Amino acid sequence: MSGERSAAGAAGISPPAVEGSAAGTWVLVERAGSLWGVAGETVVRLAPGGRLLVRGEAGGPAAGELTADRVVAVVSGLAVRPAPRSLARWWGEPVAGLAVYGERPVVLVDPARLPAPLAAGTGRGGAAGPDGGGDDAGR
Amino acid sequence: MLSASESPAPDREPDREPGRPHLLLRAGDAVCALPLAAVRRVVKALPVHRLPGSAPELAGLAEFAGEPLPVLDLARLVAAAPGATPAYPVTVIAWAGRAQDRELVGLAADAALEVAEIAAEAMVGGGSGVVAGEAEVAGRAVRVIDPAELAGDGREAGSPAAGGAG
Repeated sequence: MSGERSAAGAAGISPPAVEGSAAGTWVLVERAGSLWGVAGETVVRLAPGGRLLVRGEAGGPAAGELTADRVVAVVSGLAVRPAPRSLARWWGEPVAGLAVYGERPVVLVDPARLPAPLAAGTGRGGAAGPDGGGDDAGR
Repeated sequence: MLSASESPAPDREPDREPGRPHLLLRAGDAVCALPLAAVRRVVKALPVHRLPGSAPELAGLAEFAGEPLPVLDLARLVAAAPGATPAYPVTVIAWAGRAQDRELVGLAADAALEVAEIAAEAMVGGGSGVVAGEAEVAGRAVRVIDPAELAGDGREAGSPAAGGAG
C-alpha cells in the first residue's frame, strides 16, 4: 500500500520509534479486535509493547498513554470521514472520524478524549474480528 | 373510450392514499419493513468488526465500496427474538437520518423477502425507537422502520412511517 512506512507486531519485532510524525500520517493499532488510528503528529513516543504516549493536540504536552495489542502500520493518505451520527447514537466512545485501511474500517482517535478501550491498563477487550471470524489483520 | 371522470366505478372502494413501497426483511422471528426510498443496496452480509463497549444494537463497523459503514443489528433494533440460522443473511445499505442530512448505515438482516406497499393509514401503534408502528402485510404483522430514527434524528415531520429519505 502506498504511504505505508512500517508495520510491526508488538509481540514480535519492536516497532520503530515515531517522534512527531509529519501531518497526515496515522499510526494504526489493533485493540480488542478493532483497528484504531492515531494522528502521527500527536504521537510523542511509540514503544515496544504497543504503548503510545500521545499529546492532547499537535504540539501540546504529552497527555495520555494508549495501549494497543499490536501496531499494524504507519500510513499516510487515509481518507478521513466524519463519524456518522448513527455511530454516536449506539456507541459512547469519542470518535474523531472513520477511515478504511486494507478493507478494514478504522476508528480515528481524538487525542484529547482517549477512548476507554485504548486506555493504558485496561483489559484486552472482546478480541472479536469480523463477525465470528477472529483476527484478520495482516491479510 | 371513457375517461375515469366520465365513468366512475360504482363499486369502487373509497379513495385511499396509495401505499409506499417497502422492502420486507426478516430479522430474527420478526418481519420488518424499510421504506424502499431509504434502500440504496442489498448485499450479501458484510464482514463486521465489533466495537468494544458498543450497544448491542450496533453490530460493528464494516467496509462498503471503500468507505467505513456502521452496521446495525436489525433484530436487536426491533427487539425480535432470535430466529433460525439464516441461510442467506444480508446487509441492507440504507439511508439513515432526515432527508437533508442523511447518511449511510448498514442493517444486518437474516433475509430480504419482498417489496410490498404499505399505506400510512394501515399503520397501527405509535411505535417506539426505530419502529414507527406495525402494519399487516399478507396476513402477517410487520414492524415498519423509520429511517430517520436510525441516526437518532427523530420522526420526519408529516411522514410517520414512510420516511422521506429518498
